[in-house]
Amino acid sequence: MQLTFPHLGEAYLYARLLFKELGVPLTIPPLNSTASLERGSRVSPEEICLPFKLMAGNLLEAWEAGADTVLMPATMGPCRLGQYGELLQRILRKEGCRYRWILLDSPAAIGYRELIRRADSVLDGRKISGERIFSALRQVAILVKDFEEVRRECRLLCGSYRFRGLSASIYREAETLLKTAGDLQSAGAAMQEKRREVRRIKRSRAEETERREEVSVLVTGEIYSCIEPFANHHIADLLEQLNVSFAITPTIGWWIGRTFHLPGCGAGCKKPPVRGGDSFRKERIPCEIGGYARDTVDSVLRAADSGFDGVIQIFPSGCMPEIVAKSVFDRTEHSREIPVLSLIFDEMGGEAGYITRVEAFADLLQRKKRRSLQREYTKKRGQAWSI
Amino acid sequence: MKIGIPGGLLFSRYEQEIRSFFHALQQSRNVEIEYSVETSGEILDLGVRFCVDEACLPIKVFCGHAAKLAETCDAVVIPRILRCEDGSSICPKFSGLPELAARACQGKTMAFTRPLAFDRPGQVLRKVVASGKELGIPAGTIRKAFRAGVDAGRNKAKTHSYADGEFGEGRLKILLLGHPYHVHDSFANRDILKKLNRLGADVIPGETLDFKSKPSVWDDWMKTPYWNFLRENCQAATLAANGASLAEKNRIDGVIYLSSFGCGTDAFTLEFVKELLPDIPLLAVKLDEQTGEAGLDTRLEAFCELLERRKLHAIDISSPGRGVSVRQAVI
Repeated sequence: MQLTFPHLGEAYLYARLLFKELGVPLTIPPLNSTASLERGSRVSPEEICLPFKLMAGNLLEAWEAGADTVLMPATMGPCRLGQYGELLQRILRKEGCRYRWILLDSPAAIGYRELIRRADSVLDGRKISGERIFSALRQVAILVKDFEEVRRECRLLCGSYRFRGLSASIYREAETLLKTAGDLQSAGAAMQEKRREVRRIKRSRAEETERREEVSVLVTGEIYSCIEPFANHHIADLLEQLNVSFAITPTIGWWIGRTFHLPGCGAGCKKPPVRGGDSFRKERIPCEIGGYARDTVDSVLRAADSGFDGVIQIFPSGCMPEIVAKSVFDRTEHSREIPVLSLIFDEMGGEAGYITRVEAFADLLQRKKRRSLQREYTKKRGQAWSI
Repeated sequence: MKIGIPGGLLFSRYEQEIRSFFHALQQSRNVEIEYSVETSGEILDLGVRFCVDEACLPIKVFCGHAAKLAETCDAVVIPRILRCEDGSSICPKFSGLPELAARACQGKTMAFTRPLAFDRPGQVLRKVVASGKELGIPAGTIRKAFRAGVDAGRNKAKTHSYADGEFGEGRLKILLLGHPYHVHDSFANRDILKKLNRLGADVIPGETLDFKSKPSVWDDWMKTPYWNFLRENCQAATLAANGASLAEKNRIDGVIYLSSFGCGTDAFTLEFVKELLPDIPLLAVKLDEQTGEAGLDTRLEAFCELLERRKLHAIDISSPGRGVSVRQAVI
């Protein structure tokens, strides 16, 4: 048995370390590229969302590289992701790829017992003690949490003139470390070192007293588009170039914590408590509607209080839950006074349009922020100011 | 107080229930009811103006109805349906309908927005009672009206079953699949039934097929699909394909699938339906807010001509993905 899985951002780096630890042979499909997207789109239905086309491309290429079993997360929600497996299987069979499928539905849909049974088939009869599996999973969860903390803090420093060089280099080092680490233990230990470095910077940043003019942006939306840089035309790199501090949610760690409520991986993996009082409760979507639209809306409602100046919502063309979320932003833009830019991605590769819009959005936020700071300053000094 | 009830979406499916519920409410309370059921150009324009750009045609039509009612009513009914009777879901947009229609209601109250899961009838009643209280209607009245609605649903005239229907001699028989709000809304589907009738075809809506013999479509699937319309249309396609439940004279000549542009679930459904119909020609029609009809006319004419020829010359038209196979090339 040769295991493979469709790409989801940096998940392949964790998977490489995890399956190496467990001794399960793994084929990592070539990274997402225009060529693999084209192959995927050729066999996919026209109106399906972008993640499906990318995944189809990944699995076609993985079959050629010798994989024969697919491990895939799924849902039972009304979002399309849960139905991916069925259609992918048929499409790939037509192309001659006869995969065995292991669908990891959320425990809420199939129960923990069935989930463990399916996950167990990944081991393909290998006798590995439960303790060893648990410890490996725990180490991966901690590694994910540490890496994401490093990345989050580094991204929030992108707008700071003093720290952005340092933070960028730490982030690059952490990424390289994840790519080149020999095993799980050494990766975990080295990542903790990086985390300490980042925390040090964060402390010295907190001691700064000068006023901050940089803007920070929250990037949120559909989960695949947020995690997979190819699916969002590398929006993180673009924002970094524009010297904008930013955060991207959801992330893989967020998804793991939300889906499995894993014990022993710290407070970061627990579902965040609902805070924000009555107005928050009134404005959010009152029930799960599929996908993570509810969480998208929640994070936008909280964005202003968390110190963000604007929000960029990203989703693939035709994503049903995010369309609902987008319609809520009409209202929140006024009630919360936070601008939202919606970017919708499909398999078109042209980037100029996206770059222009993100640049303009960043300019708009910068100008807005400067004006409000000046107004504050004027009020304090009681003198006229002009821009 | 005046309550508006927009048509569109699943209104056609639950029309009897909705009408008797609000009729009972109207009798026992000081409540006025207004319906907006027929779609028109004005409704569609309103919908396009008030709805988010990326939404599909049926959602825009619904928003149009809501916007029209908001002009005259104090409250507009915007239901939020999570699951159908068999536990299947419809689409995230149905669960987020109050969010999508909020702007169309222009500040008027949105009524009956509590989440409804039809597979739990007791819970539905509780949610409806709670929603009614928000409008100042006492629980007893709502309960009575709810019972009237449920009764009306039970006594609903069974839809005419196709299997024993009579059709014109020598006319084409076309199965019309798709979502009920496309099949029943003659404005949204550009009156496709009349068009087809004029072209010499009898139209059989997918819902009228005999579902008693529940065909097992997804026994060999990895998991039971969870969308209601995917289930229904796949079952109808299976019935049409194996023809077991149909008399020889009632064999279906062709299938038309009505879908809306950008429909998330149909991206899947159409693929599965295509596979389930290996020997019957399929035409997929995508509807959006463009109202030009010439393109649709041409395609329907061509499709009907193709079916006529196929009947006349017994040409086997290859199904998608199988390459061309002509059994008897006499044209």
